[in-house]
Amino acid sequence: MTDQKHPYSLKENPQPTTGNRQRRIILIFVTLSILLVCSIILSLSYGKDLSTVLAGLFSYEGFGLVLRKIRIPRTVMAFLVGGSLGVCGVTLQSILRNPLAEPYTLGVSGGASLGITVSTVIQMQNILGAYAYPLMGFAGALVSIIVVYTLSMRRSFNPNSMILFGIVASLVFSSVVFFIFSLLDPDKMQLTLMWLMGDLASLDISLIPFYVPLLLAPAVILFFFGKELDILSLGGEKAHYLGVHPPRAYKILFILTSVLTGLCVSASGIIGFVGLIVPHVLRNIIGAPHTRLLFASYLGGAFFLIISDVFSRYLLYPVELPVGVVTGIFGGLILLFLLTRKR
Amino acid sequence: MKKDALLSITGVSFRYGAQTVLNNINLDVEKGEVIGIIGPNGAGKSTLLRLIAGYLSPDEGSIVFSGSPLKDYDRRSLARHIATLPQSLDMPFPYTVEEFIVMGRYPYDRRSFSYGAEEKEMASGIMEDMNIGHLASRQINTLSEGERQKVYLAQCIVQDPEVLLLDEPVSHLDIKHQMRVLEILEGLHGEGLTILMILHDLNLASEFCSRMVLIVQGSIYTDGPPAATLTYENIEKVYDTVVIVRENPLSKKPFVIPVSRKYLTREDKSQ
Repeated sequence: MTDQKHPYSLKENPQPTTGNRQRRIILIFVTLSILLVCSIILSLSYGKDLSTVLAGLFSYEGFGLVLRKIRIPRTVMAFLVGGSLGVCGVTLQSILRNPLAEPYTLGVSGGASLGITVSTVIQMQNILGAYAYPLMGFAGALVSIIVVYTLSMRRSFNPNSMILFGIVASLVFSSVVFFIFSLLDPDKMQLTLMWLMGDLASLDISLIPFYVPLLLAPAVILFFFGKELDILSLGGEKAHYLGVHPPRAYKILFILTSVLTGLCVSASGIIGFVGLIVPHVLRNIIGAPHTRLLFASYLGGAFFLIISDVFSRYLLYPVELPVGVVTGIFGGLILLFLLTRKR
Repeated sequence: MKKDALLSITGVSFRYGAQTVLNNINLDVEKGEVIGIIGPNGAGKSTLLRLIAGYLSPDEGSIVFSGSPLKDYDRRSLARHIATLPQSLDMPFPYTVEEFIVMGRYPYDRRSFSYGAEEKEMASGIMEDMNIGHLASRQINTLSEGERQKVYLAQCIVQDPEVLLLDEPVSHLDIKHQMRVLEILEGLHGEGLTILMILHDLNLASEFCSRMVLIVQGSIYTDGPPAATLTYENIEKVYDTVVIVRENPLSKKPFVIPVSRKYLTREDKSQ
């Protein structure tokens, strides 16, 4: 009877049993962790051998200073930002029910870009110094979060209105950014442009102690929403019938992901494709349930950004590329490969 | 309103903007009934189901479930009493059958990260009962329509509800799967489940429902056992189609045969 019912079952991949699948998932997590550790070692040690790095960890001179002032802070930020973009991507793909949504879909990047551009125009660095970009970037992100939130509240707060107002806000803000760019001397805007393409090198290291808890807290809270994300991904109506309160859940998740994305953008500019490609690839490997997808995407996002950062530093050495350009090229190619392979 | 009714709908009206979708609906549902909601397209059947499920709130009137107003239940506790299958469900992500069905335990399982062993056991028990155990690790998107409908139903059953609300559960299925799904529902009814379902096929409704509610333009037209609801007078008036009603020789339930206009005389057509 089984054979008659499923004439195509032989053509499909053999179905793993529950025990096999569990082992497979553990194996994937182990692999991800190993890749992550390797990328961290590579990011810290590139061009040096491991004993120099180990010695450097305990020294305050020479390479020890390079490690402390440049390589460790940069690796820490790449880890946190990559992981955060990964979990934000998972969350938004689930609530918007679209496997191609990403953290910037809801307009946060537009607001942040405007904040940074305005900061350059009015020369905020004269007042705020190294804090100008992070503060103004986050302020801009907050403005766009508030705009999108209030506009969505006017209708019922649902995925469609979030996407609609997110895209509108994004377009308006980035048009204003281009307008300002067109008025100003291009040389003056060079730094701003670099930042807009994603830049892990410029953040002042005195800010890192603030960013670590701020970036970790929302991500940890998101890990607890795995089951709700599963149910929300079935659509608002069905989610309602399974015991979730969709409008409330949408609001909480919108605020968590937007603030987290805003913090990422304020620290390192607009790093594209991480939040899109990482959940997309991992969902195909590890399956759709969101709790494990969130954890895997944190590890995967961290790995992807750290390794991209290594490439951005050494691909055209000594010229350093904006890391957003590298993630964009890699991510785009991976996505292209996946999409063409499926059809 | 009867005191012992499981579900009491009293004077319920609902509007979308200026358009009245439901007007002064009164319906009492006893425990263990299987009610078929029938009526022409756009009559307000799905809206009625969504009101009973708590997804929409009535503009006027009240809905009382198990002695308390529906609006006093929080989402999670209502999901432990009422399971609802909407007309369409689309799945943007590749869940397996097992992963999908266990989500029905969400209203019960307080754990944060994943479902516990007992919840998973319950889900696989119900899959076995419904003869879909062999599908457990298949992706839902690879299933046939009939298999998928059983999987959707299994998730509702895993919710362990007292009331099951179904919006056209068999509309896209072939007769074999229509019968299998409705037989499963019959079995669940035997275990004490109360079922309200919207059906388009009048004959299937007649066979499987103990009571039929015919809704026309937002109001209840008739409400009673199949033999009283499915009369040719009612059907011809409501659906504007000539029909012949006969009795199923085995079940003694009425069955309806629509008659094409080409067999009618000019006189009949003008009526």
